[in-house]
Amino acid sequence: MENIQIALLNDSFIINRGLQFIFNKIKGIHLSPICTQWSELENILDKQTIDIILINNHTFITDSNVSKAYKTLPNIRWAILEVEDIEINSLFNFEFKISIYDNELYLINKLNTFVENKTHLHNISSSIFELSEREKEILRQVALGLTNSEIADKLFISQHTVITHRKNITSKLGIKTISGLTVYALLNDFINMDDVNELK
Amino acid sequence: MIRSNIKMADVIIQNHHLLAIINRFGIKLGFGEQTVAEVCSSYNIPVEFFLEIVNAFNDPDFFPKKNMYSFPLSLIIDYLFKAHDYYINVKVPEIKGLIEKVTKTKDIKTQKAVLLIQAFFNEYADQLKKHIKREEEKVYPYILELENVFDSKEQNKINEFKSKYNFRIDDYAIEHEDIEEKLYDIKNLIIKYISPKDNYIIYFKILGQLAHLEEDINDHSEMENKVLIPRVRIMEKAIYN
Repeated sequence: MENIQIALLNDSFIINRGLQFIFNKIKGIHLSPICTQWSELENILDKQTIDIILINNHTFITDSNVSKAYKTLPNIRWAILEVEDIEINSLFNFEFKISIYDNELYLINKLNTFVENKTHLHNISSSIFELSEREKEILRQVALGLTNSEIADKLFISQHTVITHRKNITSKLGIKTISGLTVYALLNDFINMDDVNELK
Repeated sequence: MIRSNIKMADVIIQNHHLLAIINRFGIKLGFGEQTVAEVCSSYNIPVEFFLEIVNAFNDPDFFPKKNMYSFPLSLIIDYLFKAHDYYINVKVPEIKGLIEKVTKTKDIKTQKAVLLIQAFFNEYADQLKKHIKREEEKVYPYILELENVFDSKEQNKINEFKSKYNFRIDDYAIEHEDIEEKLYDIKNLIIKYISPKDNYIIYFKILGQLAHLEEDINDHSEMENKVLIPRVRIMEKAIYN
């Protein structure tokens, strides 16, 4: 799993340096870029993939550019840095909230838990429903009509491994027959019609 | 649970899929206020047998009662023959026709996908036909003759039967599964991987018909696996020991 890329938007240089110090201790998060103004961050958004914008609650409420961005950037999620004692409407959705008054241990725990949950969720979605690269390779061979032993020879793995992969493929896709897997592979461009015709 | 003293009309109103079943018994609509027992007797159908069949179809957990074991196998096989006819001559052409309609879409991507599904369904239909042909030409005659010989209890007939066939019912019992799985896969592939831009209603119809056929065929194999095959095994055991 790649690092979660978090951009920081907060106007205090000192606080930003402090946050950078703390975030450096968290595995799985990369805090960059660090900006003090929205216009600065806006330029970077086009060029760099950013998962989450961590923004102070004062700016979030008062800067109209930010509220517009909240509505219009579909792939970006938000997190709040509490610098002032103000409430934000609960309809806004945040990944996490931290406060400049949180102590170090508390912050580290909170961020570690956040990363763990994210990584975990990511793994579940890809391992339960999506095929791994290896499984796609096996599927391709099955769809082309190769037997388990032929696949094993071709990919230098044991037949037992091939069977395990095939079981996983079937349970992920819910497709049981070879013809069904072939149609699936064609529909999703894992193989093309020419490959199939060549066989006949 | 459907019983002999309720109105036949209510049976159909409750589950219209049973229309396909009563059709196999040759029963026509227009039964007025007649009960199941009355309708069956006017068509010369043993009512107990009729009830076993419709209840098995109506409720997937229904297990045929012991009295299913008392009907002549020829009665059950006659029913299975008629079910085959319905699959091959009614259901399959109906679904083929619907799939043909959606292949005419102008959306190239959908068309490519639908053509694959069409090829898959045709493959399935061919396999189903072959399977049915084998049952009708090989398996059912074997069972009917076995029953005859078994009932006659004449040793010379039994010996003649034994020398004629080197076939046992278990050679054929496993073959069913793949056919049911293909139908399931076709349905699954349509639901998950075809996103039509037009003809939505036809897709719903296709899925409905596929589900209907699947349900009917599952019921059909239940009948074979729970009633026909166990009874054949018993007779085989008696004859070959």
